[in-house]
Amino acid sequence: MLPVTRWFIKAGMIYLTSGMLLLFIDSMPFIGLEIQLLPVYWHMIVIGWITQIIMGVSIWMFPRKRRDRQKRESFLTWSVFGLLNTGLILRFISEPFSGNETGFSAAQWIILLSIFLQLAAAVLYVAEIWPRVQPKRKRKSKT
Amino acid sequence: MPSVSIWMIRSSLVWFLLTFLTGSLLLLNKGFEISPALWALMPVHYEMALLGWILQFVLGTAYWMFPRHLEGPKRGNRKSAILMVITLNAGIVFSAFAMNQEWVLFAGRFFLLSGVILFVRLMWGRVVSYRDL
Repeated sequence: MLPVTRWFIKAGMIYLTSGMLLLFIDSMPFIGLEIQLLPVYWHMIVIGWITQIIMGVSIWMFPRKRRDRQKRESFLTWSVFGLLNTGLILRFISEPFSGNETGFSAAQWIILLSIFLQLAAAVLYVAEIWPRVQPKRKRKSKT
Repeated sequence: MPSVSIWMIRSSLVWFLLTFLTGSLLLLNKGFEISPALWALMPVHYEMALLGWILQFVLGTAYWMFPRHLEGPKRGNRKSAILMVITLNAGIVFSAFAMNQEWVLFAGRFFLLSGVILFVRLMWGRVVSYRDL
């Protein structure tokens, strides 16, 4: 298993645990939380857990375009990991506190940055995987 | 990789980008309150995420990787597989963009069900092990 895949999967497991913890905290009847945790929970599960597992495993298992492109691919995949996880963490910190203030608060700027990082990660992941989704004969003819 | 899987995985990547784009708009709207009308994108966002991106990527990869038949077409009837891709994606489009029109949503759900039934029919016999365990 590739090192970046291990990071994706372990990060995914941390998000899964965090999501369940959040759901547990949100369900406590004696804690009257004034912030909305449900959107954070859903994104921890769907992006943090499921999407990251898909990304990690596809980067590992999908046929490589060319062996000599190893370096470029590994830079792209590490960038996806870094951008996505930084974006997600910033999002989870800021999302529950957004929408309550007027003007530009710190939470709003963090949200803006997190949007940019998550979008960049999505685009780079597609750039990495798209050329690797191709028929076997086409792949062989390229090598 | 078979062409059916290529179509499914590439479509799922397109849905993935659309999911992130709509999600970004929603998050932007949450932070900066651009327009209440943007909240109408919420069902579009999660239908695309769960069905277009996750479901289709997983089904496309399974169609490629699961054990192949030893006799006849390796991955089952090709026409059924093509129909599966078409119905699944039609189902996602109709379901995601139904916008509270119940007949459009009904058509979407019908196509989705048809696509999933076709997938199960194609894959049922491929859930096997050819080794003596």
